[in-house]
Amino acid sequence: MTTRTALLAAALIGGAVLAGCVSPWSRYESSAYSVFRTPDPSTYDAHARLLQRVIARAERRGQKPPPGVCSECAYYLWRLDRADEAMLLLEKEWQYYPEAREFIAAQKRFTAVGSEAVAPEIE
Amino acid sequence: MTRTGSLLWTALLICASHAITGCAKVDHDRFRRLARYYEKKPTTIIVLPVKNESLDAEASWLFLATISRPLIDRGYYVYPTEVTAEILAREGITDAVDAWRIPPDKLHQYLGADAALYVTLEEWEKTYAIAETEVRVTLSLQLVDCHGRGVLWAGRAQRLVKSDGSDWGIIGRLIDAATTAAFTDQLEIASEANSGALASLPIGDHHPKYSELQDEIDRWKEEHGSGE
Repeated sequence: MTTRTALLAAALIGGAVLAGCVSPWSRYESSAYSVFRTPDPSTYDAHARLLQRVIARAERRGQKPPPGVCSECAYYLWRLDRADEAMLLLEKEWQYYPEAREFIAAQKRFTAVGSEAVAPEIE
Repeated sequence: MTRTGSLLWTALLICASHAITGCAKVDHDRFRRLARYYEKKPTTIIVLPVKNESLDAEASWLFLATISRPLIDRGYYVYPTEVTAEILAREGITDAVDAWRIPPDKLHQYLGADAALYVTLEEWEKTYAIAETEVRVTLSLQLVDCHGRGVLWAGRAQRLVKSDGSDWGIIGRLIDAATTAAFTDQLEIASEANSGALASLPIGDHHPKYSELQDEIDRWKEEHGSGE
């Protein structure tokens, strides 16, 4: 192996390690902004994937995901017509953060029934 | 003991007593404010659509996208802004004007929110020139109790960022010593402004230092009563 190949291999491995170390949570804002600017299935999917990584990373470490992340991920999965997965995430959020149950209940109502469902009436 | 030695001891004693009283000095105003703030223990926050008074219609997205993370990092449960928008839209409420008209107690009654955050983007001006470009931003935030106690907290941030990366520094009440940001990175500017404006918000109960702070407040209450 030449020196150049060895250096290239080291750089690639180093880059991969660094990429693995960067918290997906630190990329939340740019991802959320992409969705606001371009609300379409590709940005929904990218954002949902990022949020799934945030959740998985926290759970691997035996921690709760940041508040609202399961709920937000559920919302984008629902947008992508993956309501079953969305409901599972809402159950998770419900368990992790009981203080938000009324809000999650409102989200569950439209997630479970589809786009025709109604949220609680705010008079 | 010589006269010089005696004087030296006296000086040392005076310094020591000053140091002790200095350390023990209690910021009663801070504790009074905190005790009042935590009376209702706001845990869940609903962020209403941003009232955008700037000329840039898209600027409100920048602030909405960058408001949740600093609030979560300060220990609050923040209702996801897109889910909030969806729920409100199903009620025919699609803009800040209508959303801000909802009485805060209704936000508690129907969605369980303890507090509502109202963000006003007063200014988001981009000035383009050959030599330099600048972004000027001013925003104000109000956290209103959804149990009828009015404004719990208010924050404001104002700053200018120049295209060459030099920061014009802190203006107004932006507390966070932000790093300089390239003018092109508007998201970073919005994020810094939000974080700066939120820096004085008392921490919420998911923050790692929350219990420590509550113990401090309890000790202060025991020692000084309500402080009134």
